[in-house]
Amino acid sequence: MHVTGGDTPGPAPARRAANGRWRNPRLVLGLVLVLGSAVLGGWLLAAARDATDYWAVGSSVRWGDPVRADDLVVVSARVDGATARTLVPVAAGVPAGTWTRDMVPGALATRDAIADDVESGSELPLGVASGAMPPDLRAGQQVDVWATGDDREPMRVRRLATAARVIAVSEADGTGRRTLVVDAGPGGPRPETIAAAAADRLTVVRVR
Amino acid sequence: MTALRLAVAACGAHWEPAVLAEIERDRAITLVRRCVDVADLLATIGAHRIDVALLAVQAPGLDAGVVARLVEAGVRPCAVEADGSALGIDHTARVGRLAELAAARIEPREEVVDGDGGRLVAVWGPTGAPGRSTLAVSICAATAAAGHATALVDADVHGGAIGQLLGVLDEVSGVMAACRDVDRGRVARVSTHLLRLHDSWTLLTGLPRTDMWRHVRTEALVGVLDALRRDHETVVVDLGFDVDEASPSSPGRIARRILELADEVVVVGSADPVGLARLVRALEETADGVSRPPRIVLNRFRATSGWSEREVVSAVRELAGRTPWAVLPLDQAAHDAAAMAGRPLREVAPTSRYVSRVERLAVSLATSR
Repeated sequence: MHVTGGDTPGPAPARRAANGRWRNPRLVLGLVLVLGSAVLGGWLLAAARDATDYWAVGSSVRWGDPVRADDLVVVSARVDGATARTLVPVAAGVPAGTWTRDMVPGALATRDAIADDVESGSELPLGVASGAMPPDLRAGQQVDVWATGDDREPMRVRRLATAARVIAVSEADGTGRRTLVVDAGPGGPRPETIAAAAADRLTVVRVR
Repeated sequence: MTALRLAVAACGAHWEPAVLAEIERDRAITLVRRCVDVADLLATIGAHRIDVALLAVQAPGLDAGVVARLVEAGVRPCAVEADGSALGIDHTARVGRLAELAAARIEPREEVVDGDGGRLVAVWGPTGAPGRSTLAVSICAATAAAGHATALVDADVHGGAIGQLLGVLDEVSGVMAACRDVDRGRVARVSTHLLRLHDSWTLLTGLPRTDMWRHVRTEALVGVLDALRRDHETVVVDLGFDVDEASPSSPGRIARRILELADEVVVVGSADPVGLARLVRALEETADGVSRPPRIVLNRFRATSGWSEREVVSAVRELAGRTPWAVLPLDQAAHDAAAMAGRPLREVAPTSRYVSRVERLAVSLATSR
């Protein structure tokens, strides 16, 4: 409490009741708290929405098909660093190349699913009789090709190719025979494979 | 030759034995009573005829009020071996020369009127809260804003409200403390009890309770006002309604005395039937106690009463025989805001018509001579 009549030589400044102006420190503190909370909340929301656009597959694609912009859609996702490096960001543009495997709609386009060109070796045509291969076999699937001996050695069975990728399947001709083209690998087929394909009866087993 | 009748109030002063021995030797001096303290002295002058009181200026309880009571009772106070002028003691007695007291005679004290001091403006009005304190505050705010050194004194002995009106938190009564210093002869310390509200505006707060009015002696308050007038161009005193001086102990004597001394007397009345009736009666009661014609202010005028300002002024002129000086409108919203903020009206509602009219009054009061 201020007491008059002290050692001061003249009038003392009056201690007066504070009036509630807008400069009230409590009001200023309240405004600072509100503004700070708003800024912090906005920053957190912005950080939570810090997603990156990646390419995903919009319609089904098959192994060997060229990558086209029409088959791709943009999706936003926030993924960790290691996973992000396997995906194809939109910022890098439409990737060029071909699909290295079949993709279903909605699947994220990964870097290993797109190659500059599908590595293919020699194409080995095989004539397959009716009923010796799955009727719905199609390009991109993998098959084992078995050869059986002639009438003199009916129990002689050899496997000519293992997990060979089907490149094309022809329509059946008038006898029901179809031509199957498989990938024989970079080194091409062995001579005995060519001989067996020409002489023996072939059976195609779809493995995948 | 009649012996000089003495009372001694030494209260243990070193000169007491020598003085008593001298009195015993001098046949022209009679010792009526050797007082043990000041209260004993006051009782003695009520019971005996005393010509001279020999006083020790350091005696507990001896102040200007006691000296004034001695003089009123016809007793000549004398300070022994000391200067008692600060307490109003004009005579000094020397040990061994007491016989000289008989030769001296009492001369009536003349009031010194200092014409160079600031103007003393008394704001007074009848009972019924016509707005005395608010007007006093508004006048001071206006004169201070104009650069005049202004002091506001809350002398309403029935409970000062100016501290509350101005949001002053100090609980010490400035008026009571200043009067106490004047009583003890410390006039120079009066300014230390002022509170500075503004560069040009100081305040002497009033009494918080009515029963404390006994601590404010009328002549001490006059001394306070004289001291303030030396340092301020305008001294505004807010007085209570009570001017009844039926008895010497009546609190109304204070307001009555200030009204006699004031250079300007502003009488505030409420502009309604009850307020006007009280105003007219109050003017009649104080007609012979005011040195100058009072300036009548009709406050709280509102048009909803059905009267025009001219009609109200005419009514007062017919009833009291005096023409009102000003009519102040009631701006209730502004008054409420000022009271809640603890600030003068001119700071809270500077565009109020009340403020603009008071500004003109304040200029007139500060410049008129």
